[in-house]
Amino acid sequence: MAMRGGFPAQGAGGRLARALLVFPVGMLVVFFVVPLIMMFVVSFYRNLPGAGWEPAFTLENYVRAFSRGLYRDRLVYTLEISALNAVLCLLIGYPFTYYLVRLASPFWRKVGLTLSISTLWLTYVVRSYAWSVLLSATSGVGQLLMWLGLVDRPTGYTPGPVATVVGLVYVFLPFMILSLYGSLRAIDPSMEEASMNLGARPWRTFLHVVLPLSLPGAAAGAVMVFLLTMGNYVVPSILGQPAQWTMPVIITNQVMNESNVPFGAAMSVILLAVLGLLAYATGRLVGKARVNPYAGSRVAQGGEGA
Amino acid sequence: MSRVDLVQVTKTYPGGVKAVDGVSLTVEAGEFMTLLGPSGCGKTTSLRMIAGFEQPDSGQVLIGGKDVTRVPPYERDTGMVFQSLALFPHMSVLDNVMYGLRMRRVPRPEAEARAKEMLALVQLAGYEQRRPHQLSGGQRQRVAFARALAVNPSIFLLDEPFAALDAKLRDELQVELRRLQQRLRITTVFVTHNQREAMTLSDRVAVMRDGRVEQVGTPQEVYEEPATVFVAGFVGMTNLFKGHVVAQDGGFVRVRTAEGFEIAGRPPRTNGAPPQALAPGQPVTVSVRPEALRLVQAGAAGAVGEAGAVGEAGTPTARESGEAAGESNGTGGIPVRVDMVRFVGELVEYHLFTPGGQEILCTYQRGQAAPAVGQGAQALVRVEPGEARVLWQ
Ligand SMILES: Nc1ncnc2c1ncn2[C@@H]1O[C@H](COP(=O)(O)OP(=O)(O)O)[C@@H](O)[C@H]1O
Ligand SMILES: [Mg+2]
Repeated sequence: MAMRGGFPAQGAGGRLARALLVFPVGMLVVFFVVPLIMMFVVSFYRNLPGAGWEPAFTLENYVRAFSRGLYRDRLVYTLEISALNAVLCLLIGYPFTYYLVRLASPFWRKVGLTLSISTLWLTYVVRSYAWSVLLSATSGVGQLLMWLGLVDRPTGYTPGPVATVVGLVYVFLPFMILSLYGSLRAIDPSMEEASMNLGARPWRTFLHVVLPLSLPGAAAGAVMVFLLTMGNYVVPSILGQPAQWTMPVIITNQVMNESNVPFGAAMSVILLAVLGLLAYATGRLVGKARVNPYAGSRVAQGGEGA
Repeated sequence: MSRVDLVQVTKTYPGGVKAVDGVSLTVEAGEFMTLLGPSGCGKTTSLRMIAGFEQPDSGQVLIGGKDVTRVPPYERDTGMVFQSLALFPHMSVLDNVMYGLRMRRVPRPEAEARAKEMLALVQLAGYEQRRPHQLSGGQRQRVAFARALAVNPSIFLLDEPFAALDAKLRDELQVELRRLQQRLRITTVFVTHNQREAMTLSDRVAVMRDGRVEQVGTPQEVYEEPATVFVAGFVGMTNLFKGHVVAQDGGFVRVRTAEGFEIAGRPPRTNGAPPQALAPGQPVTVSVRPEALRLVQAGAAGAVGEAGAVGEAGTPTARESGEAAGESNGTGGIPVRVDMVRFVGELVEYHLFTPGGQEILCTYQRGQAAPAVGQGAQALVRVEPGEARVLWQ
């Protein structure tokens, strides 16, 4: 099939191109837009306990979500644990990635990066169960602590807050590392040398040069981890007790166990709205910071020279 | 303003590369010293050892007579201009220039006044609030100068700062740098692989090769009295003739080249050591600058006609008349074929070939009476007396 004629495509080629678009656009509409609209609509329906739900226009689902302390707390808890996870990933990921980037050998740098993101190959479920075993009383960490003489009897940490946090950090750290890696790698090492040459000790060099230059990457990583944690169902449901359940777990519970679909839908809409708002706000923020974050860096100048 | 001493400094990188190999070098207070050499010869490593970014495996670095070998860079008081400039992209021009002062805890108003003064000195007054990426290449360069000099360092270090600029801008900035350096009378170590840049900027040049310093001297010394074949070839253009010593008489050494011509030249530099006698038969190389060669039309040379060029190559004669008669050291000319004549602005270049196929370059300044020989002509090339230099092979 010849695509001669170019744009604007009037011939068979153009029609084919449009025909090809039908599939992905159709998929998007059928599996994303339509369910979203359905969810939005259903969130205003009335729940009939034990008998499903009936079409209506009522705000009672939303009123319940906001007025009942339980659900408000869950939303706040979700925001809190997501923020905590973002901070922990940043605190652990930053020094690690910085060290990785500054490795002299490109080979070990690549090995390090590959290993640190290799866990992404496994699903959340497998990784969560792995931690659930590791943190149980009968194996792994509990036994190790006893063997080391730090505790008298093996303690189990799962399910519980420790396991939830450990699992969340473990699962989302690779995203943080990936985001930081690009940003730190773009900083010309001679920036740090210039700073030290001008009399700044390593710590002040970090504070005044490295940190500000890596801020876009750190912010992007933190936002990504935060949003991903807010939407995650698997980790808190496998590694957490009800006290660690986040919004996605509560929603699933409402729909699957309580059969309260309209209420689940309303909470989904709220979660989605919060996520969307946060994504939009950070998009604006990062967009502003993007004036020219890397001007003068190795990337902008192209090459390191002799 | 302090002097810098490198004492028997050696540096081997983890990979096993011996980047600097027993370098000893003194930069006098207020002097502009250039490290000149081809890429990879250890210039940057030497400079980085002065700044404190690399530790020598052995040897010492002295600044102002004080041993700073183990002193970290932030306590060394050097001002460095990096090859990539390394201006801080997230700071304004003013903040860049103030950085060193702020790190030394100079109060802000004072630091700001000093930074503005420096910016005025490099003709960037009014650019304080710009970001580095809003400046042209030359302006960025000058910000880097101002930033390095704002703290009034005792040593000014520059690593090929002009390598990325076009020729015209480079010329301008070279003049500006030299002016700045002379005004501040700051001890300066400049790194470049560009011999022209080294010659025009420096008080003295250290020519480096494979991690060693081959020769240190004023640009004129290095050019006119190269110590080694490498220096002769690297600093400026030259014609090199391999051969062996025939005899040493008077101030000159007579050398027979591989092709059998005889050239008289001044004996090798001794670098202070007592002159070593050159035994007859000793293999040597003769270096003759293109402008030290004179071209004579074959016809004008009288008896040496075309036959001389094609015939037995090893018979330079004293049969020439005219200018040649004045020559007292007993060497004749080299018959050549003119391969190309090029006008290079202020110069005329003659590209010549000997009968044995060696290429020779001969230049005349504009205004000098250049011989009217065209492509393909046969001619005779003669060395201006005393302009050839004999070098150890
Ligand atoms: N960080 C490094 N690790 C290993 N080898 C290096 C390093 N820096 C430079 N070298 C090697 O040391 C030698 C001298 O390098 P350098 O001082 O940069 O030379 P120049 O500045 O004269 O081009 C070169 O062979 C170079 O490849
Ligand atoms: Mg270099």
